[in-house]
Amino acid sequence: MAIERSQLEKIAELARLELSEEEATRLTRDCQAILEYFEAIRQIDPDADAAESAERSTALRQDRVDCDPLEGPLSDLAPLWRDGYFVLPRLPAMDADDFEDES
Amino acid sequence: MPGRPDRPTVSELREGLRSRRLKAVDLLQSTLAAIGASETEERSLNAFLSHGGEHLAERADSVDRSLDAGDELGPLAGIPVAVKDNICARGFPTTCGSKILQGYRSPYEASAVRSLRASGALIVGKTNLDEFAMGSSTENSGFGPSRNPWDRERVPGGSSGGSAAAVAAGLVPVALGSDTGGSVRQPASFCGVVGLKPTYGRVSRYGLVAFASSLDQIGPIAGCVEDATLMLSAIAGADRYDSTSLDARVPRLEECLERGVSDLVVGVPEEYFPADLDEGIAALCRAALERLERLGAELREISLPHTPFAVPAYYLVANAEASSNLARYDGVRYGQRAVGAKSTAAVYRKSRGAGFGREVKRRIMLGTYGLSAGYYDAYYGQGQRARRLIGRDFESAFASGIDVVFTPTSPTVAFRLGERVNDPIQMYLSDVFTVTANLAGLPAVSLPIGTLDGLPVGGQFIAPRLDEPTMLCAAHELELSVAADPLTAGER
Repeated sequence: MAIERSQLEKIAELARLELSEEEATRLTRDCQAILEYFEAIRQIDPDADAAESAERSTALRQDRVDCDPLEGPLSDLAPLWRDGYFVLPRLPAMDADDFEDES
Repeated sequence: MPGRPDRPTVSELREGLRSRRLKAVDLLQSTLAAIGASETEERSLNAFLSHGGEHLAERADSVDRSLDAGDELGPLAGIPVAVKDNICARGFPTTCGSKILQGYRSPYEASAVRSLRASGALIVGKTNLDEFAMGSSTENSGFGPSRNPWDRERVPGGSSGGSAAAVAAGLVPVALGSDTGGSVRQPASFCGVVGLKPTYGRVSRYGLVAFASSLDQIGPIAGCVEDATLMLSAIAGADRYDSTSLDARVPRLEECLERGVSDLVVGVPEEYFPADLDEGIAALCRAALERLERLGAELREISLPHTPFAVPAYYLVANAEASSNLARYDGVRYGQRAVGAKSTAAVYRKSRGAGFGREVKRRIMLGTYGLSAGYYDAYYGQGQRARRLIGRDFESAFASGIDVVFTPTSPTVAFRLGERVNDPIQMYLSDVFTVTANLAGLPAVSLPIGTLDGLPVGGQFIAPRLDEPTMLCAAHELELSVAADPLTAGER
């Protein structure tokens, strides 16, 4: 299955990746070649593993929260720490009228 | 290989320390000096991204004082160990070989590293890797490629290339790597050392930076099978911080090494010995199989028919998981933040665009594509289906009486730096014999079986789930046979 440049740009948007013109050209070419190589996998009969799928279930753990064993206080790792919170630089969208602005 | 004077084994070092002929402080100093010297020489190995660290000398001194007092210490007391830089360790940055995490320090330590320290090991440094463990040559590191100590114009393999090069060069006796599709075994093969991927869940993944969570497993790289076994014993076991770690008893692995192979049935899968396999590698594998037969093992040809789907299945599943796992590196939650962005979305896009290297971007794109609406069933769904069928192939073989499977580790010896960087498919095919063990969650080990044109060749054993004892015993016996009689190793 071929991948078009426009599809690649859409995928990059979904993946939150900024690509240069050169990267986009190269990735379109690479992804086309790789997906062509992956085509073989479509030969597998979709029902071939029906028995296995039914037999196996996902192991679940108890829904219990354990605290990570930290090596030191979190505040030591924060560039800025105030009143028990990390202090982050203000994100641009906080200042913008339109949160969806992609400029 | 065992007994090389410039590369003592853990057992030899341990004996030296216990008899007090060797001091932990001196061993530590000489290790750090060797690592430092390796970085400044021409065509440096570039095996380490950081080394040294606080309180190391005090810990070594404490080992010496305890040994002087006759105290009983842990099995790795005073032994210098290197750790791949995608495994969090106190006192060191964790970069994952990526510019996006340059300078990052984890607030917690990996359970495997904690276990090593509890056994007395001294963590001396963090080793180079392909960015986020994505690669087969260490050329994808954001901090320059590592080189192969056998030939510095060649790659050490990857992604745990720094760990393999460090052990092969004798800088450390043992190291930790991580294996998602062969990243411990393939570099071990390229560098002439032993690389062990445990059963999925045998070793906690807590503190291993996630690449493909259903495939990732921490494993040791060592100079010999016995050392790899010692390391596995130290890090294996259930861990409350990793819900995928197995609550299975860990046998006394060292005691299993001497069981012999006379009652073993070794499966030889035809799909791993294709007609176009390099004749030199095929000859060395045949020689290894003849050795096993002479030692009393029965050889049996088998078929693992879904093997041809393994590489696409692996890359579809691994990339899908990677695209999700790496979403957290957005310049806000983790990672270097790009400047000059005018919206939150632009902060994410620019930070990720600037911070990730070429291969990571390629895999995120392929993973996102494979999970996207309209393509999910055709790619990710089929990848998972192939994975189940590959697992079933192995289960059928083991159910038919096969104890272990033997294959080449890699279809080639170490290739030249730059030879494959522009050909991703050729690079992916480096993993053709190793990805199946990850897809099926099985333990596997690579060990040197000879050299070809002056470069090491690895052979691989794959065993049923949790049967590391049988696998390591077979590897140990074969290793002893190769060491005792290297002349018949099939040089061309």
